[in-house]
This record gives sequence, structure tokens and C-alpha cells, in this order.
Amino acid sequence: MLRVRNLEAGYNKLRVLRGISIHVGAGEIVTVIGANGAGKSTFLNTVAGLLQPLSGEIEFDDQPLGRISPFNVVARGCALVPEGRLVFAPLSVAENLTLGAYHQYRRRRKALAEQQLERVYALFPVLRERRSQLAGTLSGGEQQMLAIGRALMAGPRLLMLDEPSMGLAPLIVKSILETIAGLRKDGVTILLVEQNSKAALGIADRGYVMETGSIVLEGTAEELLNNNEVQRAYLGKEYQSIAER
Amino acid sequence: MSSELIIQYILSGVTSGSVYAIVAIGFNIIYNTTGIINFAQGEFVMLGGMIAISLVPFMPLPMAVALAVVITAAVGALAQIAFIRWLKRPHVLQLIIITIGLSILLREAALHIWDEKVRSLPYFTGTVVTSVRIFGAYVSPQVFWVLGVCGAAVVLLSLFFGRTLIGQAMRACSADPLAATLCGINQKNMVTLSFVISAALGALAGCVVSPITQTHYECGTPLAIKGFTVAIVGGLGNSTGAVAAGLLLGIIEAFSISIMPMAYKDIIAISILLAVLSYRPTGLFVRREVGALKEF
Repeated sequence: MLRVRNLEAGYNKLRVLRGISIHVGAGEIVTVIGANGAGKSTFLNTVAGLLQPLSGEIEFDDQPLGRISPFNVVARGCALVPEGRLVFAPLSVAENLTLGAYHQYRRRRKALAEQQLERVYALFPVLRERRSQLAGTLSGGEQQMLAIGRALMAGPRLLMLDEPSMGLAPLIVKSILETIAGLRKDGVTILLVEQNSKAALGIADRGYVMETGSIVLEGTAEELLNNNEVQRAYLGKEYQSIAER
Repeated sequence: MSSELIIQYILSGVTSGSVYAIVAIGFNIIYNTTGIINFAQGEFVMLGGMIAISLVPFMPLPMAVALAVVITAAVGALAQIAFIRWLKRPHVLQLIIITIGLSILLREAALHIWDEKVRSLPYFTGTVVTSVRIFGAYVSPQVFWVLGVCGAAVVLLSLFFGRTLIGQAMRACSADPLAATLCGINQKNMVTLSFVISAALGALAGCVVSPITQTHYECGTPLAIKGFTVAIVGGLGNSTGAVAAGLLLGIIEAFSISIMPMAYKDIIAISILLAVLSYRPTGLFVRREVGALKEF
């Protein structure tokens, strides 16, 4: 579904991504893990069109995605839940969700958008309860649900999430990640970028490990969870405890 | 002071106040989608009046006003596309200087097109001497036109920003341009649209006040200063605040005439602006916490 080849991107003269190649098949849950500053967000922002790639190719459904305007990417069926949620704070929850389906309304697909709204409310019942509340007054977890709901309103086939666990209590992280994993049965493919490697690998089929702008490791989630390097660097386990097993 | 006189002062204050409010709302619309102050807002008011005056010999008044609004809106769009839209990540200061340049450009163009003569639109109903008696005070029917048009504009704008998809999208762009882009909103189009709407609004104000205040190529600047004062006092970006502050400034000015020579009227506005900027720069009608989040 998504195929990225030799992608290089960055800000002005600073090259952050150095030849990234990643593929995501339809119906898969794929995660990219890595430390702060590894280039994970830069990668997602480039796929979403917010940054222009310096070189390399991005293909979505066998169509090149590299040079189209960012606001058209979402209409192609590829939505990003940005890092830090970025809900429209002074707008109500319902307005936030409506704007998520902006391209549907513009194409006069109101019925589709309303259908999608019911689905989002079913997924996150708390959003229905707070639909007339301003988004800025929601708790962190609720804002994350709203950000995911807003992205789902576009009816994407590929949902990309940038650090959905950031700043949230472990229980909420668990429930949000379970919801994300459940989207698969609705036919949504997931590309999840996380610092919380353990939680991310827990729901993913496959994973990539990114370090300073390059992919250093890839494999199934199970392989990565059992990989000594990954355990040491990203799962917080010491050499000693690994050696003792 | 007799009660008739007080009503007379209040009505004249409310009239000029509602014009200040509408100019301030023009500032707010652009501030809300871009974070900049468009210093050419006063010139949009002048252009609206001037174009309508030139058109009125050839067509009925309502049509001339409508056409003037449309043409000014088009000028707003062209100016934004020519000078601002193509810039990549422009700095706020850069944008503000551009709008100052634009205001000079429009003013000079108006001087060449219409010379320095003072003109005015005919009264919408009646003539200069027609007056309506209300609570013992006499006012021109044009006052009701000004109040009605300004009131209708405020109501329509709040419906537009609150209820329509495009209005919500514009507010989304001001809340978070990046997230708006991710929702599929073309942020640049929304900024151009904000220039169109505020130019149209300015032009409309320019037309309804023209019979009372008259129009010449330089009449935009003082209105822009008053409108800017009102926008600041009401809290930048806050349109309800702008209405309240506009009426307040208008009424204060009107009453100042009874204790000071009329020539000092403008000093009131500038003094209020300076006082608010030094003691409460976020405006009188904005909570401090909200103001703290703004860039300026």
C-alpha cells in the first residue's frame, strides 16, 4: 500500500533522513521505533507532504505521492495524526471532527461523512458526550482520541500516527493502542511511529528501528521484541538481565 | 446637559462607533487567519466609497454599492496574491511592512484616479436635511443605515464563522495551520479568502458612511487608526470585543466634544490606544491567560 524507496528529506540544508526504505502492505500494522531525534516524525511529515523530499520515492497505492500538495494527500486516503495531537483548541469537538471530513464535504459526500462520524463516536463514546465542549478543555487522552477521530473522519485507508502515547498514562495508552489495533478490521492499514517501543511492538505485525535517519533493523514484531540490541536500546533492559536468561 | 442632547451625543457616538467596529472586525478577520495586522484596511474603506461614487452616475445606488464591494474584494484578493501568497514562510514583520506598503500604494493610486477632491455618495434615503426625531433628538436616516448595515454584517459574519464549513476551516487555520493542512484544507486559499472578506467588509463600511463623513483619497488612514485602536482595545481577533470597544470609543468621542474643542477628538482615540497598549496590551475584553498565548 505504501512503498518508500531511498527517501531523503530534511529542513533547509540539514538532511535528517538518509535513504529510508519502508513498505507497508494493505491491512498491516507496521511500527517505526527509535529514540528522540532519530527522524521518525520527519519521516511521517514527509509522507504526509508537509515536507518536500530531497530525493527518493514515495508510492501510495502504486501512485507517486512525492510532489502533490499536502492538503491533497489526505483526499488520496492517507491521513496523519500529528505529534502533539494538534487539535483545534478554540473549536468544539464536533467542529474538529467535521473538519476532519473537510475533503468529503467539499466533494459533496455528506452522507459518507455522517456515517464516519457515527463510527468515530462508537469508537470513542467520550467524544460524543463532549461534542459541544471546546477541544482545548479536553484531557490529554481525550485530545488524542479526538486527533485520531479527526483523522479517521477523512475515511483514510492508511492511518499514520505520530507518538499517540506521548504524555499519557499507561492505562490510557493501552486502551488507545487497542483501539488502533481494532481499526484493522475496518480495513484501515496502520503506520505507527512510537518512542514507547514495547507498547508499539505489542500491537504491530512488523517493525522498523530507526537511528539517526537510517533504518538499522527490521523484522516481525516478535523478532524485534526478542532482539538483544532492541531490548537494550529501546526496551530498557540491561545487558545483565539479558545475559541471565 | 439636557436629555435630548445626551441622546443626540449617544446616537452620533454609536454611529461612528459602529463604523470603527466594522473596520476593527476587518483587522480581526485577517489577524485571525494569518496573525498579521493588515494596515491597508483603511484604504479598503476608502476604495469602497470612491468606487461607489464613481459608479453611481451610471446605475442605481444599491447596484453601485454592491459592485463597489465586489471590486474592492477583488482588489484585496489581487493584492494578497501579488504581494503575500507566494512568499515562503514570511516573517510577521515582513508581512506588516508589506501591508503598510500596500496602503501607500492604494492611497497614491486613488490620488491619481480621483484627485484630491472631497466627494460623497448621495444619502440612501432622503437628503442632507432629512431628519428623524427620536426621543427628542434629531438624526439623519443615514444613521440607521449605518447601524443596520454594521449590525447585519456582524451577525452574518458570526454565522459564517460559526456555522459554515468554510468559516470553520478558516478558524481552524488560525488555530493550527499545520493540522488544518492535514485535514485537507488549503491554508493559502483561506488566507486569500480572509483578505477578500475583510476588503468587502471595509468597502461596505466605506459606502454607508460616505454620505455622512464624505470620502477622499486620504480618508482611510484616520479610520484605520480608529479601527486599529478599537481592535486593540477589544482584544485582537475578538469581534464581540471589537463591537463593544467601537461603541465605547464612539460614545466617548461624541461626549468629548461637549468639554473639548472638536479638533481634539482624535486625541482621545490615540490616548486610549496608548493607555491600553501600556497597561493592558491584550485588550480590555480578553482574559489575561488567553492574551498570554498570543504572539503579539
